[in-house]
Amino acid sequence: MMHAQLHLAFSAVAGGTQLHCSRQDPPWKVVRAFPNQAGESLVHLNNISGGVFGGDHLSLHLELGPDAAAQITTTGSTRVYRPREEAADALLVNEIHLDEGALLEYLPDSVIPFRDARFEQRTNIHLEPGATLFWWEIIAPGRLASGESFAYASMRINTCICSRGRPIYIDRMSLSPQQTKLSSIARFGKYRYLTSFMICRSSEDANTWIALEQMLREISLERSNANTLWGATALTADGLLVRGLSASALSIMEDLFCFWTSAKSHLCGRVPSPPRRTY
Amino acid sequence: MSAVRFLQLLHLADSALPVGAAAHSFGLEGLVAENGLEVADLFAFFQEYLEEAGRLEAVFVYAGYDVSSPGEWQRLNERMSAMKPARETREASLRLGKRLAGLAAEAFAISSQYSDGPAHYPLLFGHVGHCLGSARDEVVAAYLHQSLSGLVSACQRLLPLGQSGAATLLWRLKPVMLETLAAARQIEVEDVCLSQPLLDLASSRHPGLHTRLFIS
Repeated sequence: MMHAQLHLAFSAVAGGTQLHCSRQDPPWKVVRAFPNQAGESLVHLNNISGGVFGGDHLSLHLELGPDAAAQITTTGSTRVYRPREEAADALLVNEIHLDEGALLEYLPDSVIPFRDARFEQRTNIHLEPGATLFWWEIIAPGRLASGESFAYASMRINTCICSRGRPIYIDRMSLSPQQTKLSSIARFGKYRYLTSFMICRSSEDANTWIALEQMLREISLERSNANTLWGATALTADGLLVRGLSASALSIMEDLFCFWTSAKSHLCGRVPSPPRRTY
Repeated sequence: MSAVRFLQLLHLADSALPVGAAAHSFGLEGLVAENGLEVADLFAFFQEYLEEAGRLEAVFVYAGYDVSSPGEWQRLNERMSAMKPARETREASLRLGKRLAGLAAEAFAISSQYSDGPAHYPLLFGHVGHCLGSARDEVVAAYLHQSLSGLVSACQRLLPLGQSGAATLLWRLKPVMLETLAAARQIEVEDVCLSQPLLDLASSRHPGLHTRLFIS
């Protein structure tokens, strides 16, 4: 099993944030960081192998120092390929630490599990007081254009966000569409894409989240339609979850941009600077 | 089980236990209003509900039964809060837990070191069951039965489901409850999964429904 690691650290310097890459094993590739208009250090994560293969073990370590601000995105969807029968499940591990006052916007493209793919993603995020996180993930049902919808073998998503050492969000999802009916009304219903957008700031007042929940709930109602349902809800502390289920991918990014704009304005007092021109 | 313990467990498991459960649908109202949940779907729906959401709660009932220190109690409650992202459902679980703590102290004369502070209902149910001296599996079975009775009762108010239909549904689900219990017995709280996003989403969207019969 190949274990490829990418270690990125961001530190605040006069006039911006500096990237330090202490390790990058193929297929990980980061070329450089670009300062965006909002002052964050924008980094594109590349996977030069073109996707995730059976047996891959990819690790991403992110450290944001005090007051550092980074925006991380991918250059395309993460394709999880059909593995050889004997290959271990593909594994992606994200270990992220945000120091006091740091800001991380992690905005990847969707994860597309191909037919028979087996994939596990483990994410641990630790927030120190005042650290802010915008993190989204989009899980596609497969390659719809190739007639694949929920044709993957297994997808396990384990996410834990801790604020000041206490868990505020734990998501442990295990999807095996070849064994369980995902279209049941308890699971996905008629929808196929699952989007989760976590918005957190450690030590933020509870009233902030109730106000933001109300604001994002109104956007949820506006952006929901026959093909998409959005919901926004305050977490137990220090954060909020926007979740969406969609029949198609068409409006997901545009909708996410609306939530992101509203939440960032509310929390940071400025609008986001998108990593791409269009959403 | 002695006769008095049996009666006490029946009392604890009664769906009419005055903890306020009847005011909550835990996302069901949203599924009916926005996702077309119908009477014909209910048996399959509750089967799937028990397989995941029911199993998760059962795992925490076991943990509440076994809890041995205030530190562990706090960690379990924090974990359960973090695993219930939908605010209404999470707050409902805490509200029911608080009421059960009060009831256990007043009506059942159970003094517990865990009755102060936030407590989720499944954890407290397990703990109260332990304090009553009931067997571990029976407490979890009682919890699942009470929980399902409450949800079926919510369906009676939301859907054209009559009393006989509700009783038949609950009767048919008993073997599934036992399968859930058996599965939950094998799982640690750190390992339990929940893959029912539409149920969570229905709960998140519940405050925005135009007409609501339930608090959650």
